[in-house]
Amino acid sequence: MKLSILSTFILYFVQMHSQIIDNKSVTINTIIPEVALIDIESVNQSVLLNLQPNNNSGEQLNTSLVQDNSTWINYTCSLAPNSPSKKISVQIISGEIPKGTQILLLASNYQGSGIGNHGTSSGTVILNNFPQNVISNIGGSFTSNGTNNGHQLNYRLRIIDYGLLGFEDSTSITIAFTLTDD
Amino acid sequence: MINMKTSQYLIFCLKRLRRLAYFFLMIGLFLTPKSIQAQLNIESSNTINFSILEINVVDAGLDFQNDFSTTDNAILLSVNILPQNLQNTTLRSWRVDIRKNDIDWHDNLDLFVRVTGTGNSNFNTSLQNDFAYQQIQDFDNLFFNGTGWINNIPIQVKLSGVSVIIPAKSYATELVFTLLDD
Repeated sequence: MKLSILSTFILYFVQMHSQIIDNKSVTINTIIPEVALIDIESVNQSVLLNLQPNNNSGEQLNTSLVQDNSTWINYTCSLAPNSPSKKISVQIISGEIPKGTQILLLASNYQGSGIGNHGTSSGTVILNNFPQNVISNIGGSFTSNGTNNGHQLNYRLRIIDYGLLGFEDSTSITIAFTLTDD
Repeated sequence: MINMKTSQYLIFCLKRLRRLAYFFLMIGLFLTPKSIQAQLNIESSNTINFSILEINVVDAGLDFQNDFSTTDNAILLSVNILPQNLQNTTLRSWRVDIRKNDIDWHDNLDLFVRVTGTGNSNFNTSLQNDFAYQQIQDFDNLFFNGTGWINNIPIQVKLSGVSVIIPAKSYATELVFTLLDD
């Protein structure tokens, strides 16, 4: 009985020692916006595809070395819960490809130190004036910045008609990459 | 013989009365009205909005900047123990705990708070805190303690973990400050 009374008083004073007197609250709100940013990273901003003449007459021109891997696509993408994934398309916006040739473009799958749901390569496309997908299914993600991060771009020159080739032709074309909804 | 029966009966009654008294004592102790009154007041706005913009991603390929902080007095908290007598304004010790109640939150988002000053008071008071950031949990943790009547204790809030890999939407949580008699 004495132990019970003692326990009761101990419990009572423990309760009294740290009792809640009042509480107040502050509401914290934040909105994470949708983001869609794209950039081309390269040591040089231009891509050079230089077709060299053959030293042996009668043989095909060697185009295997006429390619460029120096540029990378970086992007940052943030999606709302019900938004579709995003894609990157490419098209020529000025200039013309030399007659008798094609320029092929392949975006690699993602590489680098970024995080998230990166897109996948849509395969090789032949550049023209119409938008064509090079990367698809981009979710909330960032590639990280600079070369060796994101999707490496491989440009190749292909000869389709030797009869149309003009060896004095040198031309510049401008292509545009666009990040849009899938 | 009769006296023994009467005395035994009296002893029995006394024991029962003692148990009854003990019972009512316990009831009385725990139902004793609390004589302590106190006010925990939010002197600033009770809503904080973190403004996150697309420009907080400084370049394509990068994530949002790491942390977002309020001003160092975004929250002003006053502790007023009543009645306003000498003991309560100067000597009465108390503590403030903090926790968050999520309304619509994301596990990647972390909130931190810190006291940035000792507030102001017309009395000889004290406030104990190391003025360092502490992470807010979903359960009560000691935030700071002190003595006496103190107004406008300045508090800063920091949000971290914002990322493009989190769905782009609104998020909300509630900071709950609890005043306890220490």
